Amino acid sequence: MKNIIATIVVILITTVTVFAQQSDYKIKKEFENRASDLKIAISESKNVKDIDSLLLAIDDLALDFKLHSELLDFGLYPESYQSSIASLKENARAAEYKLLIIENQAERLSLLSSQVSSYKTEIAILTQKGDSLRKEIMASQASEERLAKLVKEYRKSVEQRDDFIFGMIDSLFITYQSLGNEELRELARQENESGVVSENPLYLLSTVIKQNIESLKAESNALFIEDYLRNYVLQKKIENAWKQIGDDLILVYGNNSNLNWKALINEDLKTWKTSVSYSMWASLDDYMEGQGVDIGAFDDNESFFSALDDFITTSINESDENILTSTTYDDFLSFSEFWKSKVLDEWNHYLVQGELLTVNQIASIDTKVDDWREHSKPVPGALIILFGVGFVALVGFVVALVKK
Amino acid sequence: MRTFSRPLLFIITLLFFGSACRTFVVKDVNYAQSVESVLVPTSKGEVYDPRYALSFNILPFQYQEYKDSSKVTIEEVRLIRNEEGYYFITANGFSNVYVMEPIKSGLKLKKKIEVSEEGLVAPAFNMRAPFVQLIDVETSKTFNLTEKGIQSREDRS
Repeated sequence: MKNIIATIVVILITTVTVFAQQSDYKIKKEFENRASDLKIAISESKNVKDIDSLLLAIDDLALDFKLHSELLDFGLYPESYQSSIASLKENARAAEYKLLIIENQAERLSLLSSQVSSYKTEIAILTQKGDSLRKEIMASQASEERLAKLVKEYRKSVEQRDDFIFGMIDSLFITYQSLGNEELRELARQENESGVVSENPLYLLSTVIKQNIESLKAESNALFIEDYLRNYVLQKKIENAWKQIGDDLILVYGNNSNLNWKALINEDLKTWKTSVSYSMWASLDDYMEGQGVDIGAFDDNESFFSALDDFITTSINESDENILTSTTYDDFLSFSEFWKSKVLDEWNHYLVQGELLTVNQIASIDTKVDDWREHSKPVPGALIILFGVGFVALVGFVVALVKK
Repeated sequence: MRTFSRPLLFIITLLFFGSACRTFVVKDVNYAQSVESVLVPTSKGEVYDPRYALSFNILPFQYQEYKDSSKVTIEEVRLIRNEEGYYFITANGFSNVYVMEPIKSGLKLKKKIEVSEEGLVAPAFNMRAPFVQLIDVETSKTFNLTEKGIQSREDRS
């Protein structure tokens, strides 16, 4: 015990002596240098543990220079000994708070990374399965029943793959949209410094987009309008998500590569959009023709709505001109069946999400469809006979009256 | 009589305020700088102290020391002001401390204090009122100075 006390006394005396031999300027400079080093260390700290050590180092600094606080109050003007120490502690606490958030985000990102990894595997399996099914369909000489089964399987695998991609985009979007600029920069720094190659969502996104372009190119006639609608919505969703979090993803994951991710993905998204738009509108046109509904030409959302609107308005006018025949009513029934079972029921979700028709446009067309029903209903035959008999009776009555 | 009374009153008032202005002095001002300023000269010898907004050229001091002011050889100038308002100026290698009195747009030598024949190795000023303490950190020599000269010295080497 005596030895420890003696050692402390020696240290204290040495410290006082050393300071006594020093210039005041040097003491001030030493304080400034140590405070500056601590400030840099705080800004460069990577985890909360680092900050805890730095807070202890700030306490040491305060203790080491307490004897010179008066000198430092003059020397550091407009700051002071107390304000400098307080400022360092404030910086450390702010950094600690920021790092706590980042560590929490890092955990979420790590979870996302493993999710992305499983999406990647799943999407690869489903794409492979889809490709082999498509090839089998194209080369198939099998019976109609067997071919229908293959097509059904193929469509199911494409749907599953799309669902996985929807899930992946949602996960990416939720994670990255909640991150602030500072947190993103910190994550980028950690990603670059860690040297660990985590699952890069940029590669996965790029692969998914390219696979979709390839699938659309390898047209197999096995996909239906629903498949194209879903793919159209998927493209739109990825494009919107990319607009919002693309820069953040590039900031975090794009630095380890020489690829110009922004240009690359933007270009691929554009190609995908052109390809899926063409296939989807052509498929919709084919489907409507197959159902006996010919609304005229359309190749985008505006012309689609105009064609629908014009078609129904014209049909209502035609119905007014042909009230005695049931021809226009048959047209109405064909359209009504398409409208109710497909547009309002099965496709509604895709049409609205893909902005092919807005909710207001659908409501407006729906009102007109009701109008059309009223105008196209043929007058019943018994009513015509009754009207004829009544008319003859009226004429007979008038003739009788004249003769009298 | 009334005609002269107004100008007379004006002259008396002017003389009163004029004499009051000449004699308006505030005593017991403390000019002391708590910590010395360490200034790095430019290639032209200019030094500027941003805290106390003082600037001057160091070459005349260099000439005083080495009889050469063709180029700047001084790395750092050390300067402190005592309670009376005199500037104490020295630098590495100087044998003297220059006590300078501020005058209109200038500094006038009040006292040249010789502190080392071979030149100071690592000088530093501390304010130890009423003295300015000069220490040579390398040689551990300490001098207590005023504008009049060395008041005491200590050699701890």
